[in-house]
Amino acid sequence: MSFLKNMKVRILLLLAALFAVAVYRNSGEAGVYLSQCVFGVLTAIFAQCAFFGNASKTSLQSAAITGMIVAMLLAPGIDGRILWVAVAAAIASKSLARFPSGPHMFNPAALGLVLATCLFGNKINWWGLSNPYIAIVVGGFILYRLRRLSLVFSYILFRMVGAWILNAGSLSIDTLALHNLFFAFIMVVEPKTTPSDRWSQWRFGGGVGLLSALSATLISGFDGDLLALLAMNLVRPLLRRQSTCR
Amino acid sequence: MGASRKELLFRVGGVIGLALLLVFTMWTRQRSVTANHEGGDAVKEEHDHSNPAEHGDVKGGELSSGDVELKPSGKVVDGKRVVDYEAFKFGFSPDPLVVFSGETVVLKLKSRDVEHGIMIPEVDFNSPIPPSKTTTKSFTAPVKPGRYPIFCSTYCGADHGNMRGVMVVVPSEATEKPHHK
Ligand SMILES: [Cu+2]
Repeated sequence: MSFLKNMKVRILLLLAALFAVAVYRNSGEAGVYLSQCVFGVLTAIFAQCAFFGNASKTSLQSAAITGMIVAMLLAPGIDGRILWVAVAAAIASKSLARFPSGPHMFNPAALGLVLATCLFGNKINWWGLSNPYIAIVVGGFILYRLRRLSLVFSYILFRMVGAWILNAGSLSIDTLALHNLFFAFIMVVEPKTTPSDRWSQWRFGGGVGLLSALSATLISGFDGDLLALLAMNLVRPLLRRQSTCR
Repeated sequence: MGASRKELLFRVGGVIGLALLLVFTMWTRQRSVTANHEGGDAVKEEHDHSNPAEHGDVKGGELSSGDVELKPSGKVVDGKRVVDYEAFKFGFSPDPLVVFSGETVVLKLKSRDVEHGIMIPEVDFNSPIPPSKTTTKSFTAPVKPGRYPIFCSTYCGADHGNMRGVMVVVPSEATEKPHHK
């Protein structure tokens, strides 16, 4: 069972569990869900080979995670070309959009999905969040071991604070509870595009939360969470530099 | 030397794999679109040749025996079906949305709570549903009768992933038979 200690395997298992619940609930369309995920993962793996010229175990695991996430967020039965573009763009961004210091800038899945939204309209559906409790419990455990829980807390807290400020006139519990759990526990926390120390994580997650509330209020029909994440990805080096005093 | 050749091999293999996947998806799409059109034309016999397990059929879902008896939603205004369609946490109303095959459907979209979205992949219909406001959008119903899923395209809360509705497309011949009162 030593493979269970591998973070990427754990995340893949979490995604597989959420996938299984979705298929169980929509068993009549299991084939659609399954083919979408297989297609997403295959596209990601081929793109990984094409853009990086290697196929190490870890790089294929990362690619599979990205392909799986994108496939689980686009609507079931979506035109395969949209999925293909989103996944290929996600992997390409890891190779093409890098900081001078080396690491890739953007959360790959978020970039691919935002690009697909720009090209084809919003086809993002988030069906991958088939059961919030699995995301919270299993995701929470993984993130605790990864030391990324601060990102989740700060995102959720500041998403609420943002909604509270922006909707001060007509605040309802519905508006406050719009933080996206799949996004929080699976996407925001991608280790390579987020800061590792706690203080920077609070700034990063807080920034995502506030920007997300802002874009959700201002832009209708676009995924504010994903946009906010990409924006914070871009300014991440600034967050780290300022916090070196820690 | 060996390493760079290996790298080239992976790159070429990756590109070929990507190209094949793209061709494959365009081919299946083409098949399902063709099948959909055949369903509506006078060439119904042709349809028997197509494999019932193909993508379009799986996604659409067959009509069940009770579906044909369903009354279409909304009412017809100027030859178009106009339906007041509401989204809420976590579902749609009316559900199912019942329309005749091939007709123009005008949805007057409203939300009971937070912002939602509506997406019907089969007809590539997509619209946000902001709260406290009516959004009017239209699409043409599929020619092929069947059950088609409707999804919410804006994250609206913890159970959003399971928010869905159904569009039931019934054969338009039913219009000519005034068997319902
Ligand atoms: Cu929704």
